[in-house]
Amino acid sequence: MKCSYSESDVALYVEGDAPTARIREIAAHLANCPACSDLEAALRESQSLLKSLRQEAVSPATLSAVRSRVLAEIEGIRFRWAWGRWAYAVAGAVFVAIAGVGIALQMQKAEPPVQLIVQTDTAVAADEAPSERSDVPPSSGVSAGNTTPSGPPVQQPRRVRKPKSNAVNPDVDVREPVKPLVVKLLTDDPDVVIYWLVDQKDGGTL
Amino acid sequence: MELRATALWMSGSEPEGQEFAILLERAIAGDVSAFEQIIARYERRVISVAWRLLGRPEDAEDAAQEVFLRAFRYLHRFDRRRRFEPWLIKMTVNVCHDLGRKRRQHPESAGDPDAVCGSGSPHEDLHSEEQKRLLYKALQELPEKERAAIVLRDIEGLSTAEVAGILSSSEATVRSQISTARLKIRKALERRRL
Repeated sequence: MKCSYSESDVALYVEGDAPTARIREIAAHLANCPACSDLEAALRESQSLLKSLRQEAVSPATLSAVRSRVLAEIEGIRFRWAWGRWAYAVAGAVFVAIAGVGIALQMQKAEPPVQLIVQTDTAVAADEAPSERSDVPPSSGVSAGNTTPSGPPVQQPRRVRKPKSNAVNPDVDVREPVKPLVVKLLTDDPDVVIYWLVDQKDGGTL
Repeated sequence: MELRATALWMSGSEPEGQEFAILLERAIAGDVSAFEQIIARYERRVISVAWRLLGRPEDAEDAAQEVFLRAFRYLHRFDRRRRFEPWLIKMTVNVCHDLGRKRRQHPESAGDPDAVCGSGSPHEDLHSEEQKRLLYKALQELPEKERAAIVLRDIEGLSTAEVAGILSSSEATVRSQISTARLKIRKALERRRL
C-alpha cells in the first residue's frame, strides 16, 4: 500500500509543527498505516532522547570559569580604553604645542624686521650743500669752496669725487701734480754719475 | 527554582521586565557589575546552546566568552523594544558559526565528563552517556543550518517563529530543516544500534 504522506509530514506531526488541519489528517492516517505508525514511534523515541539533552546541566565550575574570563577580558578592554583616551589626549596636546611653535616661527619668517636703509653720498652731499659745514668757524671768513683774499689761505683737503664708473673723463684732471722721479745711479768712478729721470705722468723716461 | 527558570525559558515567555531594563541601562552605561548580573542570568543558556552546536565543551566555553564580549561591545546597539534573549542566542549562533569554520570539528568528543552534572545511578549514567555520545555525533553530522534549527527548536524549546527570527529564515524553511534533521537523527541512532 502506497502511503500518501511523506516522512517529513510525520516528522513534523510528532512535535505538533504541522498545520492544525494537517495534524488531524495525519492522526487519522496513522491509525490505518502501520509503516507510518512505526515511523512515528521511532521518531518519538529519538525525539525523547534528543530532549533529554535539556537535562544536561553545565557545571558551576564551567560557568564560573567562563564568567571570570569574560570579566577579566572586559576589565582589560576598559583599561585599554582608559589608557587609550589618555594617550590620545597627551598626543593631542603635544601636537597642538608643536603646531603652535611652528606657526609662531612661520609668522616670524613672514614678517622680517624693518630695516631703514639710507644711502648717503657724502661727497655729493658736501658739494650740494657746502654752507652746511659746521667744522669751519664763521670768524675765519672761509666758507666751503670760497676763499676770501683778506685772510690767509686755508689749506683745504682736496676732495676727490670717486668716479662712479671706470670711464675716465679726460677734461677733468683731478690728480695731484706729479714731480718727475729722479734716480741717481752711482758708479765706481766718482766722476761719473748717472741721473735717470722718470716721467711718472706718461710712464716714460725723460 | 532552576526547573521553573528552565520552564520559563522553554516556553519562550521569560519576562524581561523593568528590573532587567534598569540592569541593561546600567550595563550600557559601563557598569561592569550590572553586566556581570546579565552574564549570570544567561550564561547557562549560552554555553548549552554553544555546546550543542559545536559538540565540544571547551569550544562552547570559548564561544560563550566571545558571545559575552561581543554583547558587552555592542550592547548600545541592542533595540530595547525587543527581548534580550533571542538577541543573545542569535549572537551565539553567529559566534558558533565563526568558530565552526575556524576549527576542525571533533564529532566523537561527546564532552568533558567534569563539565556535566550526572544525576542517576552509575549504570544509568553509563547508558545515558552512551546515548548522549550517539546524539552528539548525530548532531555534528547534520548540516549547520539543520543542526541550528533542531537544537533551537527541539532542545532549547524555542517556537518555530523564534527560530526563524534567530536564523533569519522563514518559518517554512525552518519547518523543512527540522523535519529533515529529525529524520536524520532517527536514522543515525538506528544505524548505530544495529
